[in-house]
Amino acid sequence: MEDPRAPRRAPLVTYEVSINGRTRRVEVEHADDGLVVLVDGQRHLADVTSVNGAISLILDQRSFEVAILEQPPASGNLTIHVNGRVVAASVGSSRGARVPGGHDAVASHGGPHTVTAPMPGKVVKVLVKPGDAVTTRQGVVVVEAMKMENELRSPKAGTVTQVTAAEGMSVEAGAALLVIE
Amino acid sequence: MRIVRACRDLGLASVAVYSECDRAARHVRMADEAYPIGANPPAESYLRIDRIIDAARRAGADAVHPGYGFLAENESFAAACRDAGLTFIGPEPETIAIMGSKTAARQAAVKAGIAVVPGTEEPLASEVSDAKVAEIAADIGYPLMVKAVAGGGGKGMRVVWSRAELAGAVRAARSEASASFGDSAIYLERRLTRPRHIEVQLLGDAHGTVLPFVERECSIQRRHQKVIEETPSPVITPELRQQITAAAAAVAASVGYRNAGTIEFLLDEDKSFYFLEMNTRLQVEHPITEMVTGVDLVQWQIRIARGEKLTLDPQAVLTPRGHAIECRIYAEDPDSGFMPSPGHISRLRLPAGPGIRHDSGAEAGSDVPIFYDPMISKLVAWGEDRPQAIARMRRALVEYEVVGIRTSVPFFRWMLSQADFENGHFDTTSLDRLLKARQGEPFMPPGDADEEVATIAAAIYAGARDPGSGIRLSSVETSGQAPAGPRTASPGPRIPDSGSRWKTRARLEGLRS
Repeated sequence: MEDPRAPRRAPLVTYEVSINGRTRRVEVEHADDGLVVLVDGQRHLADVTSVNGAISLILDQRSFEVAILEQPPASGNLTIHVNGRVVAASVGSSRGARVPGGHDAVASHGGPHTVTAPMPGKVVKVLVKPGDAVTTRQGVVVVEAMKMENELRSPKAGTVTQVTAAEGMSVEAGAALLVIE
Repeated sequence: MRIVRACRDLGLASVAVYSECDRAARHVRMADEAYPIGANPPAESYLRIDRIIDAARRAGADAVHPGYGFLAENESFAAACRDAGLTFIGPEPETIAIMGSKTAARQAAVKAGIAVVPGTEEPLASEVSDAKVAEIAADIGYPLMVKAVAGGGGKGMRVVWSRAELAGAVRAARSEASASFGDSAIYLERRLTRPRHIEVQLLGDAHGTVLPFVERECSIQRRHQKVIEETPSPVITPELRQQITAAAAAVAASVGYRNAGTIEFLLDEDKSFYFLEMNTRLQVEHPITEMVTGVDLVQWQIRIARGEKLTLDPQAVLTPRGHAIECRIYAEDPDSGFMPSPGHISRLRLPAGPGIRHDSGAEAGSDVPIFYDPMISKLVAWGEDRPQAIARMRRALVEYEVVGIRTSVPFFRWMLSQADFENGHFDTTSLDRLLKARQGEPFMPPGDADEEVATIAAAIYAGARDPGSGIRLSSVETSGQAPAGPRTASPGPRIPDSGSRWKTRARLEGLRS
């Protein structure tokens, strides 16, 4: 087993990993039997094996199975499944680190927010018009998909500045429906 | 899948039908034969009676199993099968017509001497004016329910608290009912304040026997859709079981019910029960009954359709062995108001082990299409008693990992940890109240420890992905994940069963599992 007090080698790679608004510097280097990972300087021993597309991670003898989905590919935006929970993370090289992503970060921004269709479907009802004041989580548009009507809610309080959705309109996933500022 | 399996257990060949996007679905690959029946929208495939009958003819099928979605409660379909010389595995079309109309079913229950929830006796067709509906509503009293006469699965159903909401609710219910069932007629029913949903599974044969099973409780509902079912109910005493199952059998017998069906009741706080409706088909939650009685309901459906006599011990099927719970796992994001989350499943780790049954059509690499109900599997846990069943379900939910789409698994993990659920203190309105109180708070938020592991995993992942990093992971591919070829066990002899020429066409739709 790797002796944690072994002399330091130069890290192979250094990344900045942002989760839930917190960015940590992670260095990875080879050890005799696995990897040494330093998280903001704190040292961990990691034994890592890829199993059927997931990662079996034995971290300081604690065992985890971690599944990672990167969408879009090579974007650094990761959805990480661990302990039956889902963590949104963004990873970038330490030089020119990318802007931390994640739902919450975007939703709490002060700027305009575009409400988009989360799935393909049909707009059944538009509940607001330009100029309307909306509160957080107020229903703004109803989209029908998979035989159910789904009410989309405003992610923030503000004013509706633009409405592109129209009743009866078919929409693709990701289509802009309206803008709240 | 469920029906293909029952056929194979009986030594029968099965035939699947499929829409375009279901070409690669599991039920299609598992069946002995498969026929395309059209484009993705249900109205162009799974609801096309003519194409389904045509496929059955071409296959030379003897019988048709309607599954539990789309046409499962459609009397025209049952009649079309009969006219085509095919055995419909279900009740007579005339029985479906009576019980399929919620108002006619209520009348049948009243005739059998069973109490119904007070409400309109006649359907209110689309011509009935809002003013007239309001007049009837005033007689029944608020709060009340607006329900589709042809309804089911929570569609075309609305709660109305006051006259001001009535017209809007009627409009919405009519439009959903028309879209889902092709019939916009509705009826009104008084809303009990804190009812529990108790239902009784039945089997009836062609020789006059009607057999009720131990009750199921399906009170954990979100917007009138069942999400967790269990059997036995934690609040039904043996005396009450005797009464409610006898009442169910009486209603079924009064219409000469044949094959599998379920009678639903509302149980009021004072333990009086009211007939709610009858489902003239196999239900999604049938596996929990199978777990505590050991009876294969789908096999019996086929045997009854073949004319066999029910030989089950009536006392045994009323006596639960242990406790079973089912969670309906949906492709939806519980943290975004349960929004459907169709898409590509890139990885799937399935639950298994003691007491776990998992009926699913989903696989790693498969897509959840946008066209149908987004249920991806039925997860069932059995235990010697309720606490053990709950513990096993919790364990299975942790094992169950789906990557690529969101599922309702985190919601179930939260739900099963609620004290009211553990204590059996709930009714059909509990979940909606609990959800409202949470105000969209995430169900299974990651903790600091999870984020720490994720941080490390993210860096290792990024290093392994980058060829210049010098980080290489050893890799193991277990045999269980070998690329899926035609893995169907050899179909075996076509007609091994006592000279019967049965070739049962399994139509697996909607859930397609």
